[in-house]
Amino acid sequence: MPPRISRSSVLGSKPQRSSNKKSNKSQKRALDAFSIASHDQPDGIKIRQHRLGESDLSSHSHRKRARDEDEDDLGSEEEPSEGRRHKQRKAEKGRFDELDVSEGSDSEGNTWTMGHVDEDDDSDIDSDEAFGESDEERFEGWSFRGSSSSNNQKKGKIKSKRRIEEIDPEDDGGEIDLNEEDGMDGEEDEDDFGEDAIDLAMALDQYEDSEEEKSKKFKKKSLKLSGSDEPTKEEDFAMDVASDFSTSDEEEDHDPSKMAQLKNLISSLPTEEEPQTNGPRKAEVHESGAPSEFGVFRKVDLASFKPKVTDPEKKKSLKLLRDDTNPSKRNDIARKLDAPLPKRQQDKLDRAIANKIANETLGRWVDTVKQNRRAEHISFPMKHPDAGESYGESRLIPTTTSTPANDLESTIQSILQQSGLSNGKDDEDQFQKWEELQTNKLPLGEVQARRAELRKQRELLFREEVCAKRIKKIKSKAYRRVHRKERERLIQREKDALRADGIDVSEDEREYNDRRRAEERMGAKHRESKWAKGIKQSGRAAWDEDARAGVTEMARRNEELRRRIEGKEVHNEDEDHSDFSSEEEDGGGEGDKEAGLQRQLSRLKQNPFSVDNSKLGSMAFMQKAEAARKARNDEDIERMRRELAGEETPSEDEDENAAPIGRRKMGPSSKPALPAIRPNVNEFEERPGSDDEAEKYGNDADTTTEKPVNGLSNGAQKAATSRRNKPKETSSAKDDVGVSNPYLMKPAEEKKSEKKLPSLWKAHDSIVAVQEEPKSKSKSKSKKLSSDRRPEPQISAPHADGWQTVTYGNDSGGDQDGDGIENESIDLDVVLRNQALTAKGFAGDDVEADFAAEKNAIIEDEDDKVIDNTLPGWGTWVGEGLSKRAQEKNKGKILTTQNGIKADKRKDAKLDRVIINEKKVKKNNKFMATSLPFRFESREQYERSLRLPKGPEWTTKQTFQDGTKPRVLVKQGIIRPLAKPLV
Amino acid sequence: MTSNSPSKPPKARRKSNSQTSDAEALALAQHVDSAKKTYGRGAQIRTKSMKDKKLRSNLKSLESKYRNAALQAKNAEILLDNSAGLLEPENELERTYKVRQDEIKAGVAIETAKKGFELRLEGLGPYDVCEYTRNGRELLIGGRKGHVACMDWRDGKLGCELQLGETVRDAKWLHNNQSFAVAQKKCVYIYARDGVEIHQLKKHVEATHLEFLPYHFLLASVSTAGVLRYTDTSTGQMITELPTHLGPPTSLCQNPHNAILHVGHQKGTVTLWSPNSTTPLVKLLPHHGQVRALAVDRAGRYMVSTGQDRRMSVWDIRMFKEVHTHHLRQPGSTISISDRNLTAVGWGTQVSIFKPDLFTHSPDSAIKVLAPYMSWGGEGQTISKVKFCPFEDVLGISHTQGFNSILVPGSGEPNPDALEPGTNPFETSKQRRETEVRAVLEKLQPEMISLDPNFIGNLDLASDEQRRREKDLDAKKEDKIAKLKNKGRGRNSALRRHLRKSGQKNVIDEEKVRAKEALRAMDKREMERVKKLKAEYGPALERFARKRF
Repeated sequence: MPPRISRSSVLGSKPQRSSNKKSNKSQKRALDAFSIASHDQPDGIKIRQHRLGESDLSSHSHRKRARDEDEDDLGSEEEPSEGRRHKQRKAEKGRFDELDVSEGSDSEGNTWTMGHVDEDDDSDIDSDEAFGESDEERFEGWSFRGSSSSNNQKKGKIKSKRRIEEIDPEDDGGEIDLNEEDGMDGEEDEDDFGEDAIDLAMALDQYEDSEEEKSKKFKKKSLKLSGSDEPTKEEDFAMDVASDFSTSDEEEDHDPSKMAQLKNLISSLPTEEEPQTNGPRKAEVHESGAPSEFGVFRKVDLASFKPKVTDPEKKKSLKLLRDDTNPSKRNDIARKLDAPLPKRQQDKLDRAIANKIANETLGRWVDTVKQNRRAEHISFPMKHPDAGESYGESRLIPTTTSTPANDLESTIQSILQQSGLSNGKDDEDQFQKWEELQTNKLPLGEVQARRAELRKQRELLFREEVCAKRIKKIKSKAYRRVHRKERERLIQREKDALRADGIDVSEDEREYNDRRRAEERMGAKHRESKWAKGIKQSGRAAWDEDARAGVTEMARRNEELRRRIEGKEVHNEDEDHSDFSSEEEDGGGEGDKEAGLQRQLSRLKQNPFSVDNSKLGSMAFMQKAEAARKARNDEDIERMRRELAGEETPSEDEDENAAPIGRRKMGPSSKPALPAIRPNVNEFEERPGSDDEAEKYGNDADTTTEKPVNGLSNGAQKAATSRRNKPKETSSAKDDVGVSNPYLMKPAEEKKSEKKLPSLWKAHDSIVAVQEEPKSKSKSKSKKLSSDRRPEPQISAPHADGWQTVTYGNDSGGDQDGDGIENESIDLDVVLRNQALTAKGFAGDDVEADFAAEKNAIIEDEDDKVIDNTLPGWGTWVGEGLSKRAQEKNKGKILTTQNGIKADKRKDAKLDRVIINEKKVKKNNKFMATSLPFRFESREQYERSLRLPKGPEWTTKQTFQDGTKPRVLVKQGIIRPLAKPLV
Repeated sequence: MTSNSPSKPPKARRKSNSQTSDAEALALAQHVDSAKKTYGRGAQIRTKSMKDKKLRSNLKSLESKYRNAALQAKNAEILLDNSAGLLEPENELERTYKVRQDEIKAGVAIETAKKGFELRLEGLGPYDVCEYTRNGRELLIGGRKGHVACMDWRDGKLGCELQLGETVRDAKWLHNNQSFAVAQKKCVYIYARDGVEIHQLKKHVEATHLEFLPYHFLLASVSTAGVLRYTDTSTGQMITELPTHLGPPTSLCQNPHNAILHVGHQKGTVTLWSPNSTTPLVKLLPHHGQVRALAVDRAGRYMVSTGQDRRMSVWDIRMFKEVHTHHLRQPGSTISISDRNLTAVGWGTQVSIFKPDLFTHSPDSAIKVLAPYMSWGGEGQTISKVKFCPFEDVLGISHTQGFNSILVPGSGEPNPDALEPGTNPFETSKQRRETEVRAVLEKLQPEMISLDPNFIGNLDLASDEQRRREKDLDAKKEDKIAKLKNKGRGRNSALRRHLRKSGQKNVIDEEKVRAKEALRAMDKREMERVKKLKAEYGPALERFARKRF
């Protein structure tokens, strides 16, 4: 698009003065060209040369249409946007009429044609137009600060316009001049570029760039446009002095938008410089420029009219206008046009810009291309991610958003709307848009902050409720007591009823029931409850007093229940400990429990979340509600505390009473009670093994056994140690001979034991020794031991046919299985004899020694080797007659070591009885990678990448298919080029 | 919580709030962990420290694939609809080894009960062989005196029954139920299912034990002389002959995980062999006397051996460490390990079956001798071979008086993999044919046998020095010209052709000179021949004496 001269450059004096000559020159040249052109072209045919120019014909037809529109206009006033556009056209028309009239000749006989820019065709958009129709719909209810369409500005503007128009007829020259300039605009502006005028391409760029910030820059924009070469309508109104009165007058009265624009423009113009430039300029305007043959080269501005205007009102308005002509400091207002660049340079610039734009448009695709390149799989035809699923395909859409599809729906919709139940989607849309608009304005951080705030509010609201719920849950002791009493009463009544019927629930039965219940509770269900597990896992008992209390409580109860299972009477607390006993309620740790309750209450009281300094929280109603709730909670807490305090003394009394009876003894701390119970234990009772207890018993047993057999054990130990100290040559075959019973051997542990706990393991040894004793003795001993020992069924596992099972610490086989022990006693002898025999049989072949020798040989063979590379006779004498000493001396002069595998680096270095071949298997190398493939940094990475097999035998079908899916999949359909970037 | 309030919420409250989500997360994490444990493939690679972006992203995606694969495999466990289980005592006093076969048979379904049966084959000698096909459908038994029979043991259909009249030392099914190999007195024969002799493997002289590697199609035998031989049954070629130098072998078994053969020897050693190395890969010493029996579990983790010294020792053959050892009352003559890691040991006239905890039993524990899970026998029939039937809770026992099939609950893998070639118990004949073709196509090369079966594709870590050392620098280069000289004569002889094609005419090097010399010599010889012929033919016929080229 060729640049055009801004018509707003009704030049102020200042810039003119500064670059007077230059501009004159350029103007002259321009005019020369014009004159040539006009000479070439006969005056009669006035065909526009400018691409935006219109032939008269077209303008006529245009005019006709304009008139039609005029007529329409009256009717269509109510639609604001439409009407406005009509008016714009009308305004143009009005000017055209005038221009057409004015085309022809001026006072000096020059002919000229008036060029103009068809507003509709122009790609550059004026600020109000930029605020397009769609935007108008969208932001209907909203007005921008800079917007000119507000109605309240209308009147003032009209006034000012009137004034200008009143001034107009007084000065012909001005009119001519301006018109002339208009003409020039249209015809030969190719080479005219204002000093600060913006290249249109640039302007376009800027326009595009700032599209988002449109609303912000509105004001600026309008200024810029007015400053640039575009004949916008404001300027037309403001400066086209030749605009006619007759046609436009009445209409302009009704044209609010234009008035607003005008006013806006005026208000945006600078006013400060006006007084300085006032005086001298008017003279200069006329004097400085030498009259050309046309006499119209001068730019006449309105300011020059000023002195002639006497009416103060007019002066005032003129002054306003003149401000426009002031050379603004802002460079976006064109003042003076420079000579255009040579075509080549201009083209270069254009190309650069075009390139930039092209790059930018291509840049939008970069992400998409990258994504597709990096994608593991691409499937053609491509689907746009947004177009993946049509809206509402997977979910129902609210009816308000969908447009009615058929008649029925539309009628229903209309009925709904009429009845005010639904506004259709407008409501929601508006709301949404409003929100969008708001959030758009806000910075990101603020939005996030707001969101966080909101979340916090919700959380806080929720918290008080939770607190209340919790308080409700905490039940007082009194509550429990009352309930228990009631229940007892019920049971009693039932019993009475039964008795009345003649059925007597015997004490035994009750006992039985109790026991069964206890057993049940003892079961996995209780111990493996979620709570217990959680405590165990988290180790909370270590630091949480509550949890610890709970754990001890559980342990205590466990103990008690076990006693019950054992059939031991639990003293007079049976009534108290009904099966109801929930976690909080149960016996012994009454004090603990109360403390826990108190703690809980205090914790609740100082609820940290009631402190609320948020905005929402600070609102009156919120505070009120919260205060109320808190008051209620506090009251509850207080009440419970009171209750607790109130009941405490009697309960304590009770406890004191109860204590001597034996209740307290059930706690885990009541150690002395245990041995007393033990003798009563029924041997054949099933009993879940409590490990620590078992250990204790085991230890007890050990200690008991240790003394009598001490001497023996020592002997055995000595034998063992001596064996260990023997050189390697004594093979383990001999080993077997040495230890007559290999079943009872425990080499690894023996070693350990001697390092760590000699006394403890002595005991074990002693047991070994005991069993090495003749049968009768061991049997009697074991029986003796077992008499005061508890059975440990899990550990030992005797064999069917007399397989001997030896367990350290206790000899349980006898307890378990009568015949087992007999078998054992018989077998042991046979077994021992067998062992001895076998050992004897293999005593001769030193298998282990042979093996060790072989291993040593191999180690030596594969170890580093020193090779004597000395050349005999090199530098020394050689041959017969050489003394032995000399021969020795000559050896080993040049030694090279051949690297092998050192003995401690071997794979079998720490494995006796194993020789691992260290040679490489050459045939396997065929299937190995000789070097690390590119891209991998280490062997681990590379080998890791090979670990997942692809085949269907090793993976699931899905994995297999994913693994073998081709990178590019082409499905049926038309593969179109991408319409828009995917990302 | 986003706000950083100075006062923290009460613990209990926080707990209750996050409990559900915590529990869920915990469950999920456990699920992932267990998936990784069972189906994961080694430790993860740390991707964060990598500098190369592309590599990093590649490996990241790879790791996620691994994770997904493991998870999917875990999720696919749903498809394993049969669950395994063992006999369990109802109370502490009950012992599972006291349960007799008739009690089990009374307790199970009729069809299952039918699987326990007895074949009385008296007078035909001790039955040293009992073998099941890989899918557990067919049974092959062989007596020492030459009686060989194969059958579909469930239907009771006899495949063939042969009286070979020769010592039968061992027999093995090949890749499917269509053929089996029998180690006879002199050599190994291969018979079709219907008893027709297909091949005689003359090179397998006096084989005492046979083993078949199904994925490599290798039939291995070890002879009385202690030579281990491999034959490819798909091509018929002998792959290698490896002398063990350790005397007559006493036992042989394969590690199903890596196709390594374990050979037991007279002096208590066990050697591990692959066809690629002439020396044993590993040599172990589990026993003092001869190693009577060997077995390796399905996953290739543990080896159980019994020796003449009446020991039974369990080895972890990944680490080559002995897990534990204990004495049997008589030397164990045969061992079999089932798919579910139940170990059957035949000793004397009895069979003991141990639970999988045999492998994990620590020598430090209080119990020295594990109680067996089940036991059988003691009726005067010396046990010569036990073998678990794949995919069935059945143990086959061959002894002096025939064959017994007993029920061992929990021994068989309950979920057969129909995709694995050869292991589909319900396979039709068409499927069998197809899998046979597929298996041959997917046959593994004998060079792929190694202690670590995952070595393929791994980086060869041999140093450059080592490689250079291994390369034979002294080897003579082959003499091209000499080879060409003898190749052919005539106008287009190899020598001429070589001269013609060997490039630039103006470059003269030693090779070319030699080639030309050889050619000239050849020409000269030809001329002489012609001269001789002319003299021979006489003046009238001398024109017929011509150069041949």
